[in-house]
Formats: sequence, C-alpha cells, structure tokens
Amino acid sequence: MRRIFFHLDMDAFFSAIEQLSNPSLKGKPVIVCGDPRRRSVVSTASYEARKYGLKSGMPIGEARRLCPHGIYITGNPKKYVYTSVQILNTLREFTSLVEPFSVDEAFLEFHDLAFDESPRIANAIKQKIRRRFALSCSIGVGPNKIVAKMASEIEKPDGLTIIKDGQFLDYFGGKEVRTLWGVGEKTTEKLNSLGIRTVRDLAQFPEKTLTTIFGEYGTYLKMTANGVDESPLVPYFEGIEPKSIGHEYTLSSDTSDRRFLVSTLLRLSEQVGRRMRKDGYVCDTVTVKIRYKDFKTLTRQHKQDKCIERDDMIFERARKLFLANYNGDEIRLLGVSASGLIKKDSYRIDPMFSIDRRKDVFVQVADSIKDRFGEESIKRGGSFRI
Amino acid sequence: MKVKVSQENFSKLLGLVTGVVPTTSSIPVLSNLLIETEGDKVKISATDLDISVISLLECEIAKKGSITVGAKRFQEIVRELPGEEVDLEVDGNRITITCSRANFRMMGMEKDQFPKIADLEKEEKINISAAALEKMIRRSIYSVARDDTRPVLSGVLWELSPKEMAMVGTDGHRLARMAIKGDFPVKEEMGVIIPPKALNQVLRLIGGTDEVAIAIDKAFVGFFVGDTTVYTRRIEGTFPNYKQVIPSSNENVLVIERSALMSAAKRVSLLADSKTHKIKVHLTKNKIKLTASTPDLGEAEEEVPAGYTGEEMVIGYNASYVLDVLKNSESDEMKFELGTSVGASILKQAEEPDDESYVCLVMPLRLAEQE
Repeated sequence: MRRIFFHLDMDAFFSAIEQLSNPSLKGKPVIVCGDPRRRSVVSTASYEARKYGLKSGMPIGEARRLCPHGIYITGNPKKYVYTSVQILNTLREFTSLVEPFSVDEAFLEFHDLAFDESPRIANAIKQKIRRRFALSCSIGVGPNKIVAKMASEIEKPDGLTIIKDGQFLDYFGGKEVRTLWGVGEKTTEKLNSLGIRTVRDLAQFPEKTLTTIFGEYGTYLKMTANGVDESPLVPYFEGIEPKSIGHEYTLSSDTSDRRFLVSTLLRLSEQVGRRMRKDGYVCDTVTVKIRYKDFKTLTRQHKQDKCIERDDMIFERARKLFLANYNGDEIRLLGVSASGLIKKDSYRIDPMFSIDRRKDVFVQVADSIKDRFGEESIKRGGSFRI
Repeated sequence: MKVKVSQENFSKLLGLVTGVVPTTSSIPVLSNLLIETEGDKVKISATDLDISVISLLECEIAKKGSITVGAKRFQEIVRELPGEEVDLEVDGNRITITCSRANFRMMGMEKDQFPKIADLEKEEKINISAAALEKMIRRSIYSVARDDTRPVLSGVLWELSPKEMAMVGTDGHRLARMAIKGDFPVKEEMGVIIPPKALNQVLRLIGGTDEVAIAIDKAFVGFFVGDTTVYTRRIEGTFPNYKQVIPSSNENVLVIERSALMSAAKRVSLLADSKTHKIKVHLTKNKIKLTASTPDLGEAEEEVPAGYTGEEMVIGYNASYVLDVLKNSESDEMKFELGTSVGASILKQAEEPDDESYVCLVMPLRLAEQE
C-alpha cells in the first residue's frame, strides 16, 4: 500500500494567535515569551519580528536590543493548546490518521493517494485552516514522516513543498548535516570531524563506520540522510466515551468571598459547557466540588429531569448546590463537573419558547467566536474577576 | 398557655402543617412550629418563608399563650402518645406534653422569634369548587420545570377571568393547560404564578372539602380550606407567552385509545435509553407503530390500531412526556394533532365535558437522518 505523509507546521503560531485575538497587533513585530519583565526567552516571534533577526529561544535581552519597538507578550498556553486541538480536529476531516507532534505541528497519513493529487489536498487543508482560524501554515509532503517534516521547512510561511520518492537528496544533498531532523550540535561536530559536512556526504558514508561510532543512532543517521524513515504514524484518537466532563480551579489564595467564589463557578461552568458542546454531549447531572482550606473536600450533585448543555443552566445548578452546601469557611479549590452524559445526537429537542432559542443561538455564536479567536475572546460579565 | 386537645386530631393536623418545614435551614426557628391560642382554638403555624401553613383546632383552653418548638420532634412525640387527650402547658420557653402516664418537656423559643406570616383573612375571597381546583392542579403541575434557570417556569401559571380559570405548567419542552369554564367572581383577568410545593400542600388538604376560598394580593396567594390556610408567595416575573407556541394548523390528526397507547408506550419504552426515554412513533394509515432501541440492550416494537389518515411520518418523543399526559387524562380516546416531525405536537382528550379544556404540547425529539 502506498503511503503519503504530510507535515503541517503552523506559521509563527503563538504570535499569530495573539495577533488574531488583538487585531491591533496585526502587521507588528509581536514576540511571545515568558514574563517579559523577568529573564526569559523568545517563544515565538511574528514574521514582522523575524525581519530583525529574532528567533525562537533567543534571550529577551538580546531580542530587545535587536527589536526595541517589538511588542512583548506573555504567552497564554491554554489559548494555544485550545486552538491546537481545534486544528487537529479540522485535520481529522481529511484523514483519520493524524498525529499531533507538538502544539503547532502535526503529521497526516494518506493511503492510496497519488503524489500528483497531494497539492490539491494540501491546498484544501490550508484553505480550511485559513477560513476557520484565520491562521496560515506550511505543509511538507513526502513518502515518510522525516521527509515530510523537512519538506515543510523549505518554504515558510504559507509554503507547500512536495518531495517525491528519490528526490530527497536533490533538495537536501547539498545542505549541511545540521539541517537533518534529529541532528544536533554535538552530532554535527562529530560528523564534521569525520569529514562529513553535507547531507550527501552522510548519505554516502559507510553505515558500518557510523554504527561503530554512534551505535544504533548511526543507522538512523544513514537512513535519514537518504530520506528513509519507517517510523509509523501514531494517530490521535478521540478516546473512549467520557463518564464526566469537569474542571477544577485552585484559587490563587484561599478565600470565603462568596461573590468571587460564585464568579469562579461561572467560569468553571462555562468551561464545562463549552467542552460538553464541543464533544457533542448533553448532561443530566451537575456536581460541585468544594475543597476547604484544611483540605476537607465536599462533593454534591444534582440530577435533573432534563438534559442540559447551556453554560447558564449548568451554572445555575452549580450555584444552587454551592450555596446550599457552603459553610462559609475559606475555600482552596472549586470544581464543576457534568455527568450522566449522553450524545446530543440521541437527544435533540427543540425549545418551545423563542427566549430559549435565542439563548441557544447566543451560546452558538459565543462558541464560534471562541473557536476562531480563542477561549478568552468572549466571556460572561459575571465571570470577570472584580 | 394551657390547653387540652384530642391526640388523634392534633396528630393529624401536625401531619398537614409540618410538610412545609424546611429540612435544612440557615434560620433555626424555621424548623419550629408556632403554637398559640386564638379564640377558643389552638393555632399551629409553619413556614419556610415562601410557603406557610396555618391550621386551627378545637380545644379546651385553660390559659392563653404561645411558644415555638422543634417541628419534627414535637410531631413525632404527639404521634406516639398513648392516650386520647393531650395536655399542653407552656411555661416560658418550655412546653410540657402530658398524655396518660407519659410526660415530655421540650425546650422551645418565644413567639417573637418566629417570622411574621402573610395574613389575607380580611381580603376579598373567591370561592371555587375543590374538585375543579384539584383537576387544574393535577393536570398542570407535572409539566412544571423542576430545575430551570427561569423562576417563572418553576411555577404553575394560574389564569383567572370571569368566565374561565386555567392552570398552565411548562418546562420549555412540554406544556399542559387545564381550563375550566364557568362564572367566577373575578373582576378582571389576572395571572399569578404559584410554586408547585404550595399547590401540593393544597392537594393534601382538599380531599373531602367542597369549596376552597382564595385570596390574592400583590405578593401572596392564600388558600382557605376549612380550618387550614396555605399562604404562598407569588413567583415574580412574566410567564412566557405560551399561547403563541400552540400551533394552529396541525393538520395530521391521530385518534387512539388511551389505555392501549399507554400500555404499549410503557412496554416499548422498557427498551428505550434510560436517560432519553426515546421512543419513535411511526404513523401510517389507521395504524401506528411504537419502536425503541438501545444499542447494548435491544429493540422493541409494537403496533397499536388507531384512526389516522394524515401524512405518513416518524416522530420521536420522550416517552415519559407522552405518558404523563396520558396518565393525567381520563377520556377513552386521545387526539394527537401533529404538524411536522419537529414541530410541537398537540395532545388532547378526544372527548371531554363542555366546561373543560385540556391541551398539552410536547416537543418531539429530533431524529438523526439515519434513524
């Protein structure tokens, strides 16, 4: 069976998401990093910032010297992971064989696809991601994962490179061995000392000598340099049906401030509702978890006769449960979870009153805004921390 | 206070009153009963602040007075008393219960600790037949949302007008409206929303009475049933315009024997999903077929003869919604007025007394295309 692998690499992923959630950053050098006031490194620099020589992993001090007018933003991993999962789900519309490789990279495997057809599919993927997330990506296509991965590096951003069987050395033969996937600084030094400078040098080097020096890694080096890779794709599955969907939050400091605690419940309820809707479930039971300062933990649940999925309905039950059971002591952790999950497809009932339909639409609109601009892009007023 | 009461009557009365006592409350006195003398009777009151029950009982009064005492214990003690007559004597915060050779002393609290209960005694009252009231309550209360975010849907809407009274319950997916025509001493049309808990209290009281007097003010409704009164706070807010959602052009009419449909639906739903209770109704000429299936469980199917000449279709329902309507109807045949498989279905009794009108709405479950 013929296999074709795609490697998809999101372009300047973190900074692109930041530019999306705050359009005033568009076209500006945006640098996503750790806390910019403390010592940290560049996590992602937007293409505008890369013009100044900024790279991932560069210390912030150096970055600031090169690009003093850059906009330095503390990364928000949750936001990136969320979008990442959304993208993975989008990719699964093209093939069930999708392997997340990092937060902004993934492999896809296609069976019985001709190389000539791959540009059409690659462009369709790019278009879908652009339309759905307003983000761009670069795709590499090859007969295996390594070739696909390296192909995606050739043209960036928004690139597409297709390397067919036997073409690997045409692209990489003249490049330094360092460009090979899995070859770091130390290996490069060793290879250089053997007189190996380019990928072609390594490709032609006797495997035996390499294995004597590098052990098994020697075989890997020889294969990789020839664009050969047999590693399988490890697909990402949706997993088994969940029994419950829940979120917990450890408060930054213990508190007994009811307003604050209730607003935390709202945030948690929103998260639970969101995940439930995304995974296509409705629930009939809501559980609240209260952990007091002294770690005494209480869970209380309420089963209703109606299946629900809307944040406000989850929250209302969570709030009631909380207020009925809270003893007024300082709280350390709060949790909300939904159980008694059933697939929404098996229980879809239209609301009778237009006010409910409007609320449903409101939730749908909020969900699609979050899909596109991230979880933090739209929130209920009550969940803001005052 | 010093009174003598009949053990049997007093125990019965306590059973009625203690129903509203909250099981847990942040206000300790709410778990108490207020016992006081009024005229030549002893008056017992209980409240959860929203609903209150007050009941009077004939007794021999030797000395007037009052006390509040823990409801649950007090009721249990009185229920277990060995004799026919009970002596109650209050001394400060303490009540002594004496019956035959048994003697109990309980600590209580003074009357002024007990919350003030609404008083509509002097308001103008409307008299209504107990049977009509009971029918309206029973045929609407089951549809009320048990846990909705909107308080108005957690109550029964009671519409009063000079020519018609109706109670409406809905949870947003189904609705039941029971109306009774007649001449009612109501000056103008009005609607009050009442918590089901209060109506359940009323139901417990009206067996054996002919008439119930009702008084309504801005915040409360009072039901006067013999020597007992139930006061309830009205639920504030605007009830959704339910008349708007009752379809006017459901042309596919199904007429079916109520008991046959009820037993078939009960049987078939045994293999329905335990959470969704989903059954499907396949409508064909003069026949319907009920089906249910659950992947890990199995499938059920049953045909029921019926009068049907409308469009052939399949409609999904939550079986418990349909069964609730059937259980609360009494005609031999039911009439379903159906539009499309996703629009609201109207369920009615095929025949009913001229002065009654029972209309139920059930939203179907959407079926996936492959179903």
